[in-house]
Amino acid sequence: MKALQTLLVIALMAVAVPAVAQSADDLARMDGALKAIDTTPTREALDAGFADPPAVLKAAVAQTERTTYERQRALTMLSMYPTDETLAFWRTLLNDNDVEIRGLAVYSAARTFGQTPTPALISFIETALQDRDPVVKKWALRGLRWVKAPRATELLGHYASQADPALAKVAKTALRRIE
Amino acid sequence: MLRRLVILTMCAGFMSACGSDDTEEPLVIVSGNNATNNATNNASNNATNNTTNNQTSNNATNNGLQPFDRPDLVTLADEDIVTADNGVSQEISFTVPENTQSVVVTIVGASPGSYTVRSWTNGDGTPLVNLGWLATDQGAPSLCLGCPQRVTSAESAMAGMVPTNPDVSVKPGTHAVTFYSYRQTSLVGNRTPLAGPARVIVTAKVAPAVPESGVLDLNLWFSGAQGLTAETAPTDVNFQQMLKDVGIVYGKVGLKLGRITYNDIEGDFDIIENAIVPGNAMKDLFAQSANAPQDAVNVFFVEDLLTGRAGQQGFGILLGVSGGIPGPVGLMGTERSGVVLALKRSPMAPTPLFKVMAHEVGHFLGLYHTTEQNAFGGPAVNDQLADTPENDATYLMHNTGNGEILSPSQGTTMRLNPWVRQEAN
Repeated sequence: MKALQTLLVIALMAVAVPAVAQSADDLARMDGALKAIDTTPTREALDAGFADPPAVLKAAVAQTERTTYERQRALTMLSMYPTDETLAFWRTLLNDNDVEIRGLAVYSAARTFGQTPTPALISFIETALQDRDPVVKKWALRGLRWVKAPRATELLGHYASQADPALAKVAKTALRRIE
Repeated sequence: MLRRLVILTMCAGFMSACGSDDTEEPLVIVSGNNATNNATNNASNNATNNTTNNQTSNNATNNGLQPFDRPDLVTLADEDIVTADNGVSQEISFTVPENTQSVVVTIVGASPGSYTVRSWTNGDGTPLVNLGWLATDQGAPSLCLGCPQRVTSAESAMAGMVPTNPDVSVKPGTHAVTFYSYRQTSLVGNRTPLAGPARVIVTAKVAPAVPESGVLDLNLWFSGAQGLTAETAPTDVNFQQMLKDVGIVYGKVGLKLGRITYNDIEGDFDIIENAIVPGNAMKDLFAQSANAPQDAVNVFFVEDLLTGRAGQQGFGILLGVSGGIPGPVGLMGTERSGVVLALKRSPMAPTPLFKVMAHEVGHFLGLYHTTEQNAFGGPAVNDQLADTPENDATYLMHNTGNGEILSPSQGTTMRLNPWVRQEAN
């Protein structure tokens, strides 16, 4: 029985190892795009270069040894893949230790899905607005500009009139920029 | 055309901060905020900077609307044109004088129109930009890869410069240029021709030889991000060190920073959410350069910078953006008149701010990325310069912007750009 289990593990490793190697290669090839300072690849370029671009981008976001900028690049590039899985992934980033990652995750969700907002999106944003760090709140307010829902305007109005002058300023700007 | 641009509250009331002609330090002009301007009183924008450092004989601004007035520059054409229903403009011809070292054509239209040079014939009749490239070139309409002189396209305003590589040179005689205007209908290059008016300025840099050195004046604009303002930046140790570092990078190719003005951005521009494709924030930001205190390259410092459009077409975070490759020449206040840098992002990125600034201003002066990112299996897109290695991240104009090296040819391109003046001018 144990021999069978060992065989099974070896068989699984045989399948898994190439996948891991491929992922490492993909991450290395993605490196230049993540470090680029003034260009962002198109979805067509990503699709041409990778079998599963969202998986590579998510893996890059998870690499906490990368700079915040590189992780944010990967995070925002996921906006080219507006799926439920992307939204769910961004939501998991509310647990990230880096406030800039938490903030840009909620902003990205709002900007990407704000045209047709769902209760899940609104809930995501409201959760982010409860974050202890004002950086996250600021990104959430910036994101509300893109959300076409009465609740978005209501939240911005609330923050525009609150005591924290920095957040009030962001909320007022977002209100002005609502399209 | 530009009269339609919004004239925003201006900065006026200048005072000298420091500098003398024989110092290596950049001259500094602090621009205050204590005056307002509007479309009817913009003559006040002609005020000469009342500084004590003077070199200032020519640093009066031109209202943003008039071609530059500098001894080494000649305006060869300033015409209103119209693009037809097929997007093609009438031909503009102009006579290039002897000893012309570079020529820049700038076309200024209006969003959502994008513009590019459709054809350009040199003074000896040879093509600089191939007629027909928009139908056949692999990079069309964004970039003519196969043209002897590479050109780009850009929304609202763009410029084409000859030469930006040593394989071409400006020939005296009659040049002929046509433009093409279109509306981008998707992010993947679909387009429809666009009819409409535009203004064309042709600027020539005349000198006995290619300049061995040059001076670059800057207007710096602050949104208040990271505590930097027109008042604080001139004495901010880190910011001043950053400028010195830019000067060191440029100094290696004979370029030094000259007169620098410090200006506050009017309005709330802490984040630009739609760089590359100008939306309201981007164009309003660049348009403020119409009120700059001197004709100089405009560098705007904001907190965050993103690119992309609304909805689900995707976007990305950036460290910097240039108004063009090169940026518009001869006028201020266009929707492409400057570069924007993200102050907040830089400490979190592998590329320090001075390199981002040097890189983006490099674009504005006509430098392309040495190698466009090609990790995705497509063909490499390299610049046209033989002395820039492919995909070498130690070069400033690599797309990661984390190098410092400028090649001799890149230095030549920068010094040939009309934004760079000779010391005496």
